[in-house]
Amino acid sequence: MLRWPAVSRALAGAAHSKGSITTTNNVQTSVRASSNMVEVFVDGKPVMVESGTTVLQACEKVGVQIPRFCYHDRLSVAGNCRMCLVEIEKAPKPVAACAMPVMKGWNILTNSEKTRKAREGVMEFLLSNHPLDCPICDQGGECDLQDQSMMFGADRSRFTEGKRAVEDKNIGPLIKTIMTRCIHCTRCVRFASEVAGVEDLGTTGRGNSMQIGTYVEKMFMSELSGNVIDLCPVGALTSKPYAFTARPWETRKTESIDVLDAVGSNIVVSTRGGEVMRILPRLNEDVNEEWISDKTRFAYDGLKRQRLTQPMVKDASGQLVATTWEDVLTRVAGALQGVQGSEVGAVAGGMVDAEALVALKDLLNKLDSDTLCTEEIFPMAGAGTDLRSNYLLNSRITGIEECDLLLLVGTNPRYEAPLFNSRIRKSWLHNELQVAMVGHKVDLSYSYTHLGETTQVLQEIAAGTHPFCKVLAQAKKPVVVLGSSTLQREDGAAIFKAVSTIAQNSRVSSGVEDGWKVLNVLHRVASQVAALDLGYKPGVNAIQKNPPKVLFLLGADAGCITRADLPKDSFIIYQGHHGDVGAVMADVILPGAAYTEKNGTYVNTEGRAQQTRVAVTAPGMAREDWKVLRAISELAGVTLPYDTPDEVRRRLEEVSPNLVRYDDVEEANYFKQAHELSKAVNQSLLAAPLVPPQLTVKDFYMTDPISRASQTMAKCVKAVTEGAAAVDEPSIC
Amino acid sequence: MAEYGNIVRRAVGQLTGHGGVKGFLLQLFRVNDIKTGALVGIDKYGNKYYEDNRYFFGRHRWVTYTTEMNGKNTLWEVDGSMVPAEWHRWLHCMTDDPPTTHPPEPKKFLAKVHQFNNSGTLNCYVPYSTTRKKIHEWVPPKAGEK
Repeated sequence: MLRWPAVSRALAGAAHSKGSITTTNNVQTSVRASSNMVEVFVDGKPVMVESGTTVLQACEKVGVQIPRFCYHDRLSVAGNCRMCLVEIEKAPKPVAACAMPVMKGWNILTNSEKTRKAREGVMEFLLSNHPLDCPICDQGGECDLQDQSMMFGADRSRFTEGKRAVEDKNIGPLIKTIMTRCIHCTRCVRFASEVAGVEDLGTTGRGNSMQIGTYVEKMFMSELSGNVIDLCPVGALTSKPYAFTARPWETRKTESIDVLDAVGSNIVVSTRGGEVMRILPRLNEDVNEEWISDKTRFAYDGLKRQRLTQPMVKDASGQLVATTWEDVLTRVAGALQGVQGSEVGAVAGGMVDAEALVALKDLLNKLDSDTLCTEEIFPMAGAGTDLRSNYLLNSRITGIEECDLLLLVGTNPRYEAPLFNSRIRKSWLHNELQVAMVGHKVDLSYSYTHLGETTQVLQEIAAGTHPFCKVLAQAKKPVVVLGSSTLQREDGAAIFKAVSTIAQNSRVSSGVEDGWKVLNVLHRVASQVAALDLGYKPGVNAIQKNPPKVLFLLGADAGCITRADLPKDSFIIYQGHHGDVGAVMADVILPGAAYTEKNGTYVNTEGRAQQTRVAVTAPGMAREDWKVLRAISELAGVTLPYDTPDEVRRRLEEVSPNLVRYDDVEEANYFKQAHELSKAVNQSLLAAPLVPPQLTVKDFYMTDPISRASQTMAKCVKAVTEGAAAVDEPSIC
Repeated sequence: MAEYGNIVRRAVGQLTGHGGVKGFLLQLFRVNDIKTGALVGIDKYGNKYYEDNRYFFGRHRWVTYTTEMNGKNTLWEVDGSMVPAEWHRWLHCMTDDPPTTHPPEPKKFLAKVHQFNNSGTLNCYVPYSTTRKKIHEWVPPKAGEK
């Protein structure tokens, strides 16, 4: 809760955040068909609310923010901080606004004498055991306790006793705990048990000797664990990598999008002095609510290591040496001028923005080549990537909240798309979603029916002989999610066909209306959907069949194509921002910008185009990717027709208009036609079991060049494999 | 009467005590002071250190600089920083023991050849950043080491 007056002004009449499809997300008032509107008065102003809303929500509707510590609108109500006490006219005692449902005709006095006395009293109690840590506490400047004590607390203290102290708990290399500051609001406990699904945190003892912790020496190793840092209203739980680095008023905040996975969570990049200090979540009801995963939150220190800052060229002895842009651009242009058609090819990696993808495609198309591949494979048999609905998460992330049966095939959404998983868990918890999984048995933080992990199971469900088919047939709004890792196998087309059949059958048998989509594909890399929208060929088959003489690697670090696949004197150009697998095998290195350093369009797995913004400038001589390609095109004689970002965007719109309709999801259809086309696929399923590549939390942390370069992520992996004590931290921590 | 004689004797000693007219003129124009005193010692660069306790505090110890130090001709361009550390202590009356009787303790930071003030020269101190680097560049692997 930052900046109370501003928040209360902002909330005046603006309770709806960006494009919310589901308007109510509070558990306690999920009385779906409540048609009774009740009239209550807030400070004399009448307001009509649904019956069952709490006093706090009624006041928020008017625009009056009631101070609170333990209430959070995405967690269950605890009512233990007592800060939200307000006086109701003609009531004997003040009531806890967060928990009390309104009654007809109540007059809620939010600023009366009794209310103010109650708030001062509660604040006095909270501060009586709170240490005087403000100068050394990381939460200073954004601390709820500081803000609320200034606004609602008493101005003088009468505290002459001694304060209690509590030991710090070690819950991992990401969260710093100073439990003396804890005010026992239990937000972290409720988050861990409800949203994250790990029941690690709890309360021990009572009264003065109450402690929040894991009781035994245990790490809080959930993939969403960093969110408790945002939730904690005081400085008890803070970010360990961010500790003692910056104060919130010194930082500049830039709104951006995360590209470390395909969900496209909205983030705020806080920078100071040209370096990224931390990454915080931004509210977006449709995608990530208010949470971000640990990799998104803590992998920013990978942006400062292993960076490509100078253009490099391989000299005669085979050693990469730094050189100038003129040198490197003329070399690349020279190489491109000598080739035509299929002698030049390109591979796009997982974190490339749409502007760079379209620039590269235009450049190669002008050289008469169409060998542009992505590293991720998608089966091209049947409809392939021609129909958009084939490769998107069609039901959208919010659609999970309305569905009643979810079938996951060969995916571990917990580590591939943690925010998608948190949405599934939310649905499972509040809307009684049933989940079934075909694939390796993994811990998904909610219980599900494990149907098996062989492709045999898939065939049986598609054919209608599996006992699960009865359950599927009875579902009113079924959803099938296919993980992209299963499509990387050789029998990917057959798997897709089977899943498409399952989806089509369940859609027909459920009798759901036309707008409901059943078949979904969950991607793992952020640039895949944009690349497929722009017409890239999924998978490097085309290159492996006709190895080109000049290969352009655009951020391609998965190692799908190596020197061994290409002819002996081939020329490899690598354009990217980290020195990973791709840069090592390149002849020429063009330094590009990472996602915090460019205005790039990324399309998430639902098909929602979102834009990252420049938070810091690219280091050294690095430049934005599409500008490098435009320069190469000019030197090679095939000048691209755009000079400014607006013109690139117009080109994007020309190719695929959804790419510039930011924050909106374009409807994709033709499921029936896609299914018909997939029936023509004549591939048989392999017997190998469907095992997603990320099985445990150890595999979650280092999956792309930025997180592989991050020391925080390395510490997490070490902590998970060897225990929290194995990670050595500086002693001031 | 006798004290006037002493004064005259000392004055004549100062005029003749620098080794002839040339030495006297050299001393007069280099050091700007023709007082004579007991030679306490010479350091390894050629600076001569004198002492005469009949003068008041502050004028009782002095140095005549050498003519060449650190490759620079210091006949006319003398500098107070030409005094090395061990003599500096005695010259500034921090102690009464010159390095001839009490050699200094060897310290790690004492240079073998004392450098006088380098301001304005090419070897001058230029402040540099001691903070850690913000961006660590990628170091390409050595060719041949696969």
